[in-house]
Amino acid sequence: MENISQILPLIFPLIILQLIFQIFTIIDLIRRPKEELRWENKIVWGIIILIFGILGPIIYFIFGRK
Amino acid sequence: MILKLMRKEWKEIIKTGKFYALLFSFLFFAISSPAIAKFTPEIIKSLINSQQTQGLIIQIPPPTWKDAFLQFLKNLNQIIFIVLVIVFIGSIAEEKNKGTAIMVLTKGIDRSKWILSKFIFQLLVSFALLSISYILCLYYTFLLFSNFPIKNSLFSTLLYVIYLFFFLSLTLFSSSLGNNTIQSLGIFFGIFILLNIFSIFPNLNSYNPLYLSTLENMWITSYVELKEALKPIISTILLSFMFIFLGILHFKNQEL
Repeated sequence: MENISQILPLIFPLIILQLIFQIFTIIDLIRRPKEELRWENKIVWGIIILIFGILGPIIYFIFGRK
Repeated sequence: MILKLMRKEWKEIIKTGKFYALLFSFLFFAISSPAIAKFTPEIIKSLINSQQTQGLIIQIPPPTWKDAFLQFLKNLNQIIFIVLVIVFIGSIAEEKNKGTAIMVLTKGIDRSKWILSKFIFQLLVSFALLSISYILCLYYTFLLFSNFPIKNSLFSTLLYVIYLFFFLSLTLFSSSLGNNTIQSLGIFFGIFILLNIFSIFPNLNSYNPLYLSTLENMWITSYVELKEALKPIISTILLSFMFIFLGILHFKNQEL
């Protein structure tokens, strides 16, 4: 366990960065009218953004809009 | 004129959100590369301890700054490369497909200026993002591994800039040939596979643009003679200009 407490402060910025990206992307998703989205489904995109880590927001911004 | 077109392109890339995809991937992989290089041995070690595998000795050399930059270059050549190509390849082909290209071009804007403004814009955006992510990676590597020579990583990143110039010009070429994004991607990766096949021949290999990515790694791990690097650099730049020229030529004579 000693190792983990040493690693944590250094990995912390990475986790924070990913969270910022995900929150930013979720806000964009909520604000965007449904008609502009591919498949016109906000829940599917929300799941993609949240479960794929950093790739979620990237996939959303590349393929998410029509 | 070109500046005006580039400003329009900037608005477009923000509006469609594609800029954020680029920004996120560049920033995230700049920071994660040194972190992954640093912690992979520790994670493996803790896995071995937790499994209580007695008698099994696995020796892992301690990570250095070299691992951090090798990881960074690997990400640049894989994920970021794919994101860049997918984001930029549609810019010409999709406008042709949707018909927005005709609207702009019938206003009397020169076709070559239109296509060049897109290319320069793509080059500037990716260069700016690359510089930011390189500096971030440098800083984070410095935090994790303390002192190390900057020269090696700088040269290998500069080689990546030339490689970037090459695949953006290939993007322009395939985007000019294809009628939509999927077609353009097909042409792009078709040429990419061909270049991969050419790298089998040892005589041609040192002139192959793909050889640059091997050189990038070599520059990190050891040292590269400038003479050896010059061949692929010159041939890559020549090939890039050829693709730009052919792309513009095809686009000029194309019926929209």
